[in-house]
Amino acid sequence: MSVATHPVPWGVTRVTAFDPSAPVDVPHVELDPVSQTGRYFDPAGRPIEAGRHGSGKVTSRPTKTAAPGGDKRARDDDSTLDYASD
Amino acid sequence: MTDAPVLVVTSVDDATADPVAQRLFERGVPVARLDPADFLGAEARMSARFGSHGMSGRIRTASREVELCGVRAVWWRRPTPYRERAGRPEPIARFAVNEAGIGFGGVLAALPDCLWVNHPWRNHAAEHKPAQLVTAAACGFTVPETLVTNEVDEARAFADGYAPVVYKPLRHAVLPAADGRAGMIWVGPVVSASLDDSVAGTAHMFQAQVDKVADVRVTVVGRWLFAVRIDGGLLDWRADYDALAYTRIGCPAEVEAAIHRYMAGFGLMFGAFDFALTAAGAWVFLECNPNGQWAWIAEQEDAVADALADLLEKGRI
Repeated sequence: MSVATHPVPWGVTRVTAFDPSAPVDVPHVELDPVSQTGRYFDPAGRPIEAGRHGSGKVTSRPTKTAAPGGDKRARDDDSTLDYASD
Repeated sequence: MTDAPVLVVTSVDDATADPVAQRLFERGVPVARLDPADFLGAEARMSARFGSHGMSGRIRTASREVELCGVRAVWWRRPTPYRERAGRPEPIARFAVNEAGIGFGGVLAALPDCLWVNHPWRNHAAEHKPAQLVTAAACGFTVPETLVTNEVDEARAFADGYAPVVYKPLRHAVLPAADGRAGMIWVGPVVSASLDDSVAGTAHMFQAQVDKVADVRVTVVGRWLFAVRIDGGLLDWRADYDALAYTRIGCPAEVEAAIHRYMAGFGLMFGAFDFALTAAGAWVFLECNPNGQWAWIAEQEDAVADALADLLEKGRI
């Protein structure tokens, strides 16, 4: 039962690939100094209408559950990996 | 305390924070948004002093200055993890990141006399699924038979004894799939024949699959509960959001009472509970994410945002 002979945990066999067809938009975000809300800009620097940007962290977001362009809120796809809990 | 700000601790690209910040702004409630990772760059500064008086000092962001002892409420959303950004080599980078976590994070965690939604250390405790299951049972929820093990014989016996059984990771994980693309692990069925000695490779969680007719998400904000029935016929509804239909429903009194006991047990002001709803109408506890998302469900977005703004503005339960 030594772990050394079983370096890959069984749970890893359960991994499913994300959907590669789903777009992942990476808008530029700045903080509005007055309202303290995010202001989103497309790659050309044009403001994106509020609520029309994909949201949440894109760093490790599964594209299958990611909000594609036109969706507006991070879904319940992440836990402590994407943010600091302490 | 009318001028005391609400501190929103999150990354700049947290769109879920925006509707709440906007509401507070429109109400004239001062809001300061802070991403603690900015302390490791030039964007944010902090000095805190300690002595017999306790703690004093201030935080400065590009657009706000906050007295450490004058915060009304803290909304701990999705801050960026502390990361080395200056390109310093190890072990210097690790030293800097660790000091940031205990120093900046420690000062924030010590902010006095404010409402926490939620305190990050409470979140940390409440994120552990074994603790969730123990607390849920103590609070009176129906809890599925569950096994956490690194022993394959135990796993096989459980899979046979409680079939059908599912495997679910103890924590959200992003891993490379077999083809090298990024992947993740959904909740999925397990048969004992698929189990092998690699169960010894780490902790694995198996759970008796609940025979459900639908799922229920209950989002809790202080004393307010927002229950949404999720229909989609999926074992793990996160696997296909396009297949889901949401309906606001009421929460049975005994479930509501158990939820409030659970929230008090972990010291939470916010929580996102997942239940499996059986044909007989039982609500079976699956988990509670103390920092779950909520805004993607249009049927509850405005109500939850209103409740969060109310709670943060009030600064007390």
